[in-house]
Amino acid sequence: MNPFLRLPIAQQVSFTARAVAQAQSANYHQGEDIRLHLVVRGHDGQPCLIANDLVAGQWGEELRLPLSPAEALAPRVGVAFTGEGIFVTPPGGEAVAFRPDRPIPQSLVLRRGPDIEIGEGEAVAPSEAAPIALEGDGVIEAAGTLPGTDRRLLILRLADAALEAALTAAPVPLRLGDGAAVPAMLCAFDAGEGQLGLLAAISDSEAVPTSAELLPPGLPPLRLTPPPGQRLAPHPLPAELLAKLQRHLAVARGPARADMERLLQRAFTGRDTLTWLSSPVRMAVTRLVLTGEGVLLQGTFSDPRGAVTAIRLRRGDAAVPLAWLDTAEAGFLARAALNGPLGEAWIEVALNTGETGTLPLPLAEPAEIPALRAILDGAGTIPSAQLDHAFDAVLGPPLLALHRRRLARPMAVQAHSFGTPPESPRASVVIPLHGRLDMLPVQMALFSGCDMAEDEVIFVLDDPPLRAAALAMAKSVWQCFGVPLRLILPAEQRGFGPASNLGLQHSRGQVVCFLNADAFPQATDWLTRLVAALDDATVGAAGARLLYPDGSLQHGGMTPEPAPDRAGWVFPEHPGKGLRPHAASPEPREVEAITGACLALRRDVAERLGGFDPDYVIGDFEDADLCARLRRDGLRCVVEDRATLVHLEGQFQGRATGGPGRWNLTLLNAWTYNRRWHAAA
Amino acid sequence: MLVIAAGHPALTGAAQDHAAFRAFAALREDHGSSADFLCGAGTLPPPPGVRIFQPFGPNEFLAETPGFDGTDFTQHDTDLLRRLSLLLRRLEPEVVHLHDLAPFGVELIGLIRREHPATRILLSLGPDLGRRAAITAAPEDTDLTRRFLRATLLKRFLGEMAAILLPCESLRPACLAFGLDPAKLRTHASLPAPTEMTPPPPLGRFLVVAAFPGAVADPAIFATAATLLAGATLPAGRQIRLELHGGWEGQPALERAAALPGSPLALMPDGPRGKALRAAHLALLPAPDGADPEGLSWEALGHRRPVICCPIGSLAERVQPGRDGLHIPMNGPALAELLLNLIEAPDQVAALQQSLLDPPSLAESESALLALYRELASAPVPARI
Repeated sequence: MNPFLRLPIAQQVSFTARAVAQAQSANYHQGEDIRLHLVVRGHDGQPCLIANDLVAGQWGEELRLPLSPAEALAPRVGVAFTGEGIFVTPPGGEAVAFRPDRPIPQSLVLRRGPDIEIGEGEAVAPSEAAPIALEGDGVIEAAGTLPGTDRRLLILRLADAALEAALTAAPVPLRLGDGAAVPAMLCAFDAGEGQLGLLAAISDSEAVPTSAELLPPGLPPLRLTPPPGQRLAPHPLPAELLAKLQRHLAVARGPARADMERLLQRAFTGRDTLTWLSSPVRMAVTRLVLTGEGVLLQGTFSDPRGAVTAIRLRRGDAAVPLAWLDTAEAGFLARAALNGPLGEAWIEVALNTGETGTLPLPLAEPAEIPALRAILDGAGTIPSAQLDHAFDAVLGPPLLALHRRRLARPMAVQAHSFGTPPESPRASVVIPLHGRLDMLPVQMALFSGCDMAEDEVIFVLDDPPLRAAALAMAKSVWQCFGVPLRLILPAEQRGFGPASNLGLQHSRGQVVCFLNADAFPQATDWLTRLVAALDDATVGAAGARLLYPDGSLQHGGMTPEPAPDRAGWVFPEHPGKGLRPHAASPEPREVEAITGACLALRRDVAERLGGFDPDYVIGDFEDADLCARLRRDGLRCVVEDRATLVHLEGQFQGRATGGPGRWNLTLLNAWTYNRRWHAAA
Repeated sequence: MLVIAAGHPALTGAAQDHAAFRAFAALREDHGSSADFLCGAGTLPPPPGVRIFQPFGPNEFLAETPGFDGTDFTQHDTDLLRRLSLLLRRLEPEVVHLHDLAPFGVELIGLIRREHPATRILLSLGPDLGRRAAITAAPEDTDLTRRFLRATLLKRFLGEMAAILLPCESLRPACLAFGLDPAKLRTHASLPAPTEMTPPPPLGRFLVVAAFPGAVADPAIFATAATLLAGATLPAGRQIRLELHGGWEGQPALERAAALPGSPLALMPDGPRGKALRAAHLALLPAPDGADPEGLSWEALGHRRPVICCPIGSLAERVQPGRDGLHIPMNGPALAELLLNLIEAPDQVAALQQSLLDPPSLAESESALLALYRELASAPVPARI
């Protein structure tokens, strides 16, 4: 059992016979003080349940509750810490208040003997609010500090209702106990029986609420006391005080009412005030990204009692609700539709008690790929049922906006040539590189044996840290294999589509063939066949048959198919993937879509479409999108089976090995593709 | 004609280098052929500022090759490739015979093709090269992508070959499984070393076996056999001597087995093979994919020493059991049992020494090789990839 107790609590303390015999005790500590000490012991020959406390090193006066001999063998004692005080319920008896005039703490630590068991107890029903008999001018019905506000709040009751106007028109001096008089903001409510209720807010101080004095200008002072029989004004728990204040404030009158309402909504002071709430709400924001399509927040959140009614992003007076996505291990992702500079902003958490807490925000992270990856990784495995909400409301628009803003920035690009390519190339082979370079020499060695004398080869390094290595390797392969090549070096990594498009911009061939760096031709005429397939003006794109190294089919065309286990989203599937390929067709055959791993277009078509749509982040779905645009324009996609390449697939951007973050990136691109082409799905 | 080897026979004892040099010598003797020999310089330093040099003769070129990567048979030294390119332009070979892919790498094949598109290139693919290139043996690398890249590179350039010469038929299935063009695979042994038949030592009291384990035989075979034989009670006055010529260095188990009292094991330096064979009754070739099993077997048979080998692989194809030698499962107990049986039956050894077939003569082999060169020179240029 967690020894830390947060009030209010109700417990059942069971002493075993051994505990009774050994005089073991149950102690509820508040720091060094023991706020309740329970032990079963004899007194004057009578077994008793004895309650006491030890405050500031001094034991108090014992409260002895007699027990019968049978009850004393293994007594069960009810203990309740409530806003109205501490109550002890002996076996077979009624609840007895213990130290009713002493404020109770908000949290305790329980220490007990080994043979004392603790179970869940019954809460003590609050006593019915009996009409308080007024003595003198009035009573202090409740007083308490509202954490985080630097304010003391009081509920007062006055005998003379006619004083309302004089007390609520403007702040009135109020003296608490022996303290100095300070301005009090007052609003009035009907207290019944002709009495005047007042809600008062004053600046917090050390003053003890043994009495209060209202000093309305031009009127005699009004003296208020605690309820009869009490030395101090009742000091309920913050939650109970708030509940009472909220109840009265709903029907309160006076100019101060609005200020009072604002006061109850705690102001942001730069501190995490969630720990001051009456319910154990925990929240941390670990990442904040400004995207241009709202603010993305990532963090952890727990609300074991379900007390939170709203979480908002506050910027000054603006309160923006959050689109929320729960993630694994009490994590969350949230989006607030708030754009522009954030300035001073914070999180505001509202409870069903009316309380609010605030949480400061971390500095915004740069809106770059690492933040995008971290957010997608933090999303974990998103259930199919939540996919639409996750991407429509939380992740999709902001991450896409982040991606677009990156791509919109100007970027330096260098181009290096090795050898002299043909003057007017028949085809340009454009190959983005990322992550590893060891395949480049093998690919170029194969090109050196192919019918590619009239073609140009362009590598685009989508991985700036590898720039020096790529330059050295490009020079080496040129000298080793004698095939001219160009190496394009963008200053940033921007993903497969943008890198391919950069290659397109630098190409001069009449045909442009986008090729993955892990695709290896198996015959010398592979490119010749793709170029020939594009001689047909009705063909928009031609692709090759791609095999795995073991000879099984990797790609022979793609078919968009809805995936029931992925919210019905449409994914491009590769029919026959992993199986032995069928006999090669003697002619190019029409398919719905072609993979971008090897996709050839006529230059005019490629330029008209602008290559791949750069909205697809890192790499995925841009090929299916391109084919959809071709088909929209009335052009066909074909696969030339006789042009065969081995494709290792996934050596550079594999979705299988990247964990949930990589898969969520695929889902982000799938969302973009589906919302664009399969909106009805 | 250009013959290319890993090293020069004046510097190395590798059988393939010697076979390559014999091919070069045969071409040089063949009137009507101009021949050159190119190989790696190994540890022989070139003169300052020089990469390709000729310390041994006017047609013998040695090259400094530090950029060779033996894991994938690539040469990263582009300066060397540029110099080789100039050399190829000068030599203008019609036929190039590679005896190894080291130390110039597959890039040399690309260079030859670029400089002389009509040149016919052939490669002698023995068991040792087949194993190193993971063609005839399972690759050691467990990374599937690296294996694929290495195999793809090899296939790409082996596709440039006009012919791939296998020393025996038993290598053919592995080559086909690797993806080599069956039309280019030919069974053609490397040129054997010249041998001079000497009478074997007298049989009776001693049985001397010259073993050539190479780098790939399991040392446990000899350690176990030696232990078993050391403890066996031999007929009075008879003794087995199992000489290991090389391959035992850095093997403590073998050194311990040789130090046992009565151990038949003798650890000999890896010296001239002819001398070792002349002193032995039998030759033991435990590894079918060792450095030069076919050359060793030719040499042993040339000396009329029966060969003990395992019943699988290229050697088993050449050594007919009961005629040229004996097949045994290559393990310690089987070897010990065989040697015990043979020392008790010296007549069986004598019969084998009489029955084994003479290997083809060097002259016959040279003639066949020259005929192959002429045939390839007149054949069409092969298709690529």
